[in-house]
Parts: sequence; C-alpha cells; structure tokens
Amino acid sequence: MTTASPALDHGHASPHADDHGHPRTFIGKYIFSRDHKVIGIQFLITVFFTLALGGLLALGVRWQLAYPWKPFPILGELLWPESGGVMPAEFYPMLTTMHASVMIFLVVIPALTGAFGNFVIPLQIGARDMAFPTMNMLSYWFMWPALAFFGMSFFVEGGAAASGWTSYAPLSTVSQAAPGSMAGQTYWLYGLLCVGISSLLGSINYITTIVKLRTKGMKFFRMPMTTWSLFITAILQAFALPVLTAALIFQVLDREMGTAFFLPTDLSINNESAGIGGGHPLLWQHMFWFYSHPAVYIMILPAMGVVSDILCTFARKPLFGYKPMVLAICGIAGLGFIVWGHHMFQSGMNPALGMTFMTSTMLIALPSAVKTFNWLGTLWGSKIQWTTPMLNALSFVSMFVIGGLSGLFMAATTVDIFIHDTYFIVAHIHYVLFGGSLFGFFGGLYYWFPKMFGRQMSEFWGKVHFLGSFIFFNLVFFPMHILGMGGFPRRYADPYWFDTWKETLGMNRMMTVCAIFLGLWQIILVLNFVLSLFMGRKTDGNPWRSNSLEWMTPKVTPGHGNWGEKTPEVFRGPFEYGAPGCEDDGYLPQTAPPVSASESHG
Amino acid sequence: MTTVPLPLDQVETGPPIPTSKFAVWLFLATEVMFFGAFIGAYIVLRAGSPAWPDPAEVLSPLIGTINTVVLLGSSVTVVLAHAAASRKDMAKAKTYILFTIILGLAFLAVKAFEYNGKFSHGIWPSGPATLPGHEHYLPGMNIFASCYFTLTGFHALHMVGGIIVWFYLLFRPLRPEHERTVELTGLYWHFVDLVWIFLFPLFYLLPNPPA
Repeated sequence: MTTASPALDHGHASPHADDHGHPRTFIGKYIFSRDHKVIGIQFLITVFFTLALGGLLALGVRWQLAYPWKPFPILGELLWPESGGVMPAEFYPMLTTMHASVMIFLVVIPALTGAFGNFVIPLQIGARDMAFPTMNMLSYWFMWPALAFFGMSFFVEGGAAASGWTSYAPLSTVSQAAPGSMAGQTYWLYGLLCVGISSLLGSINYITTIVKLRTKGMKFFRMPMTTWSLFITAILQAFALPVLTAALIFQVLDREMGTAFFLPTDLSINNESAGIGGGHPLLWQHMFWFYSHPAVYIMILPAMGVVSDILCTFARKPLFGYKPMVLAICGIAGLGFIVWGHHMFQSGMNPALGMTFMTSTMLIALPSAVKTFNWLGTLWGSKIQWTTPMLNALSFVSMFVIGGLSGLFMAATTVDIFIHDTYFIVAHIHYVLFGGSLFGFFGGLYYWFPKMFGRQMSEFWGKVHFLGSFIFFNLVFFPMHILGMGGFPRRYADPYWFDTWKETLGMNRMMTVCAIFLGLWQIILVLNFVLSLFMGRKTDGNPWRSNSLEWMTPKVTPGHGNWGEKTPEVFRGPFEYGAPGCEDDGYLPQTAPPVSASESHG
Repeated sequence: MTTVPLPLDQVETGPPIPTSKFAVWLFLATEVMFFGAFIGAYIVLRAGSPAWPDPAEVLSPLIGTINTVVLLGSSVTVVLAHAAASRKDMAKAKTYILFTIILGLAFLAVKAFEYNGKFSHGIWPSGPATLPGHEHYLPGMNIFASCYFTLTGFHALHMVGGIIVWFYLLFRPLRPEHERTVELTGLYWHFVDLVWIFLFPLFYLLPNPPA
C-alpha cells in the first residue's frame, strides 16, 4: 500500500486557489491525470466508444434473428467474404457473449460508478479529491487492457468467447468444447480480471473517500442520494468482486495449468477424454453468481441515486422519505448477497434451497417498492419542470417498475423453470439495464454536463433523443416478454429451425428495425454532446438551481482542488427545497447559513 | 486570482482512524473475501469428492508445523519492528524488518522444497501421481493437487508481495514518519500469516472421514 498516499500528502504541499501546482502539460493534465474530475470525464468518453461497440454487437444479434443466414449489411462482405457476407453459426454466440460482456463490464459499470462516481462523489461531499488520486488514475487505466483483451479476442484462433457472459463450465473451461472456448475464452478471462482490478481500486477509494473526507457539517445523512448509492455500491463491489476474481483465477488455471476445479470426473468431448477431472461445474455457477447477482445491483443502484437527485431538483420538493430511501438501498444491497441461487433454479439444487432463494429474492420487492413509492411521493403534488434530465429520470422510474415486476416472475421457482433461458429473461434484463441504468445514465449526463464543461447540452435535441430512445426502446424490448412467454429461446442462432417459432419472425423483424433506429438515434446524443462542448449555452455554476453541494463550487467548472481557498461548510440536507427561508423556487443550498435557531442546532 | 498559499484544510472526518489505515483494513476485507472464496471452494470440492488422498501420506505435518512456527516468528519480528519504529528507533526497526524478510524467505524455501517433493512424485494438477506403495493413480489426486497448489501458491504469492515491500522499506532511508508505513505493511503481513493459519490445518491436519 505504499503507492497509495492519501490526499493529505499527495505531493501538493500548498494547493493554490488557482489551477497552480498541478501538471500543465497536456499528457499530465488530460491523459495521466489524477484529478477525479478528469478521470470521471475520461471514463465518460471511453463509455461512448464502448457503448457504440456493444450496440453494434447487439445489432449483429438482431440482424441474425430478423434475417437469418442473410448477408450482413455493410460489414458482412468485409468479415466473411467466403460466405458472401453471411455470419457463420459459430459467430452468433460470440455476438451475444461479447455484447453482454461489453455492455455490463465496459459500459454500465464504468458509466455509473466510473464516470459519475469519480466526478460527483468528491464534489457532493465537499472533498478536494479522492482519498487516493493515484489509485483512482490506475482504476481508469485498468479499463484499457480489458478493452484490448476483449477486442483482440475476436482475432485469435477460434474467435471471441462464446459461452455466454456467464461462461458456464465445462463449456468454457475445455478448449476443445467449442471454437469460442479456445484462446478467446482466455482473453475474456484476462479482460474480466482487469475490469475487476479497476473496480476494486475504485471501490476501496470511494468507500475511504466517503467515510473520511466529508467536509465540515456533511453528516452521512446529509449526503445526496447519488453519493449514498455509490457508497453502498462500492461496498457491494468490494465484498462481491474478490469471489469472482477467485473464480476467474480457477477458470484460468483450469484452462492453462490442468487443474480441475470446474472439470467433472470422466468428461468426454468429441469422444475424447477431457481430463481426469474431479471438480464441480456447478461450483463455477455458485461463485460466478455470488458476484454477478450483486453486480446487477452495482449496475442499478447508482442510477437510482442519480434519479433521486434529479427528481428532487426538478420537482422542487424534498425527497420523500430520505432515510427510508437510504435504508432501502442498504436492504437491496444486503439481500443482494443471499439471492444468487435464483439464477440456478434450472441447474439443479435441493428444493428446500430453491425455496429459500425464492423467498429471499421476493423480499427484494420490499425495498424496491419503498424506493418506487418514495419517488412517486416526491413527485406527488409537485410542479414538475420537464427538463431533459427529468424526462430521463421519470422514464427510469417507469421502466424500472416494468423490469422489477417481470423480475418477480423469475423469482418464483416454478415460473422460472418455464421462462428460464427464454426471451422473457432478455426482456427483464434490458428493462432494468437499458430502461433503468442507461436512462439513468442519460439523465445524469444531461444533469451534470454543465458542471463538467460549463455549458449546457441542447434541451431540444435532448428531448428529441429521449423521445426516440424511449419509443424505440419499448418497441424493441416489450415484445420480448411475449416471445419469452412463447418459449422463444436465448442464444439460438436460428430458432426458426423449430416450427413453433416460425411465426414469430415478423415480430422479430419489427424489433430489429426498431433496434436499428434505436442505435441510430444515439447519434443524436453523441452529436449533442460533442457540439454542446463547443457551442452549448454557457451556464452559471448552478443552471438547475439545485441545492446539493456539487453545484456550489466557486468556479463554474471546478478547478484543481475544487473548492478555492476553503472547503465549504454544510448546514442542512441536500433536498431542502421549499424549507423555511428558501427562495421562491424552493432554492436553499446546503451551504447557505442556518436561517433559524432550530436549524442551527439541527 | 490570489496566489497566497492555502492551508491544507481537507479535514478528515468519520471514525478516528487514519485514512490510509482505513483503506488498508478495507483492502484486507476484500482479501478475506478472496481467500474466503478459495477456502470455501476447497471445502466444497473436498466434501463433494468421492476420494481424497490421505493428508498424512501426501503432506508432511512436521514440515508444515515447522513452517507455521517460522511464519509466526516473522509476525513477532513485525510487531517488534513496529514497536521500534514507534520509539523512533529506526535502526532497530530495520534490523527487525531484515529478520522478517529472512523468516519469510525461509518459509518460501521450505515451501519450494515441499513443492519439489510433490513434483518428484508426479503430483501436480493432471500429473501421473506415483506415490510409493501405490501402483496406480490415486483417486482424487488431481483435484487435491489443484486445490493444494492454487491455495498455497496464492498464499506464497501474497508473501512475495509482502517481502518486496519489506525490501523496499529496508533499502530506503527509514525516517520516524515512516512508522505508519511499517505499521500498515505489518497489518498486511499479519493477514497473510493468518491465511496460512487456516490453510495449514485444512490441508495438513484435517483427516479424511473413516470409510
């Protein structure tokens, strides 16, 4: 731990009010920066590229489902000239695997915890930087080897990993099991290990920063919800991720060193012995889901926090039930550790254990409902300002309700046995991850863009982007519920081989067309982002008139050290809109001195 | 803009524990989960395995005990090093750090000797496993070797990491303000020792249930 020195002695003996005393060269300032704001923006811009990559992979999947064995447009001739642009059947599972892996590990997690976590946490708690700036920089730079491994895996013998983002053993651990289980799987494992190191460095940093570097008066229960949710997320990550790391190491050793952790006794593949074995393939599933179930909360909790902040700001009302909201996050996180078995109802387990996992899973509905009703309570009777961040946040709430309710179907063991590995699952995960996390990400992006760059993104184009995304998203993913109820399977390159599903081809084509539009629609977001960087309307430091601390920086875009000469003092909670002493629109920032005797003692 | 130097007013709030120490404890908590996953997997695999080689036959409890004592000795020298550092007696602290390194290297040397013995009998994951007195491959040897080498191997890797930090402290000028660094490295070292305290009985002492 000698490389990580706390912010107190990280080499700036005398930070100045101006941007003096930190690297002035381009590389020092923007590439290998240790400033949390720059690192957050680095994550953000990286995510735009990985989002495009993951989206392209998804369109590959959709193309095959709509026009099976038809030449893939534009890229097909380039990739598979020997078949006239038709993707080989072995490539389809690589598409699904890598789409999920990229979206989960290189888009949603870095977008929410990486970009927003880095940018927002120190500003919201009044710190000058993260506790360990160097570690923070490393957490960003460990994303790149992961991206490189994932990217390179497409070009090695056998192609990219193809055993699903869950990489179930022994398909994934025995090289001769499938083309995708050759070198591509090893690259996938190395990529994930790098993501793991990045997340672990980040989460230790976040927890330490939030516990130790809150400014004067910033009690735990005065922190905005974004920081709260990122705090709990970091704890989840810190305690779940090492188990995945252990499982990944096992799998690497199984593949490279001849160990047998996940290799069953006397397994034959292609009429040949796959090794002596003696291990348990199910062990991989348990270890994988012990991380990956908490991981789905790692992917949604920060969005919940972001959305809570946005809802309050634009409803101009205090958050309904602030403490229950925090407790609900803690409840979701705690329950998240004891529900992993619900992914494995079909894998075989003692029915009593299945029942236990079912009950604990159902319990998650309670804190989730607390959150949902609190959001509704926040909106109730308010005069909503229909800004772009608000639209995206409202869409988060409604889409999360749909995704959450479909989750209850899967929690019930008996229902899950029917819908397991169907498109119902695909619909559910996309409603929470795209409808939930990504809309939360869009909302946060529009919301904090002025603080990042001092300009505002175009509201008009933001609304156009929102409306199209919302409509096309639902047209793509809602029919998946229906398909799933019909038993339409995941991960089949050609489900129409079965007569049962032939008639779903029309519906799939409609979904694919909408998916293409959904993908193209994101160009509006990118253009809006890039053009607003240079041409957006200049803002003052607090364009939304939000009460929370991140908007109180002395400069519009905070410089090195964030707070000028003195870190701010906080006198109240982040959501005291409309409290006594506020301005007409409910504005009463956390830093405004107490207005009444009772408040000064609060 | 003013160019007056600022006081470092970043206050430390929260529980009364230094930021760096808090982070090290947090890091150790993640390490508990990491080795916890390893040990949990080992228990599942061993309990679920129809055959497991007799620990007394493949491993030497005597060598294991000696190594445990060596490692515990290194924990004692770490405590002494920190005590000396908190007395500002940095020369003494360096001496104890040196002792720690020697004991750590001794542990690794014994471990290497043990590994070598296993290799010479063909015991490694997917090895032929030709133990004296047995004509055939011993059932369960493959999964045993997988667990044994992975768990003790990662423990040894953690020790190598610790020894590198000790060497770094040994060869740089150690000033009184480095007491914290000695303490934090010591925390990590104690943790790595603690992992061995779990691994030793689990692998060397725990007998197979009677058939």
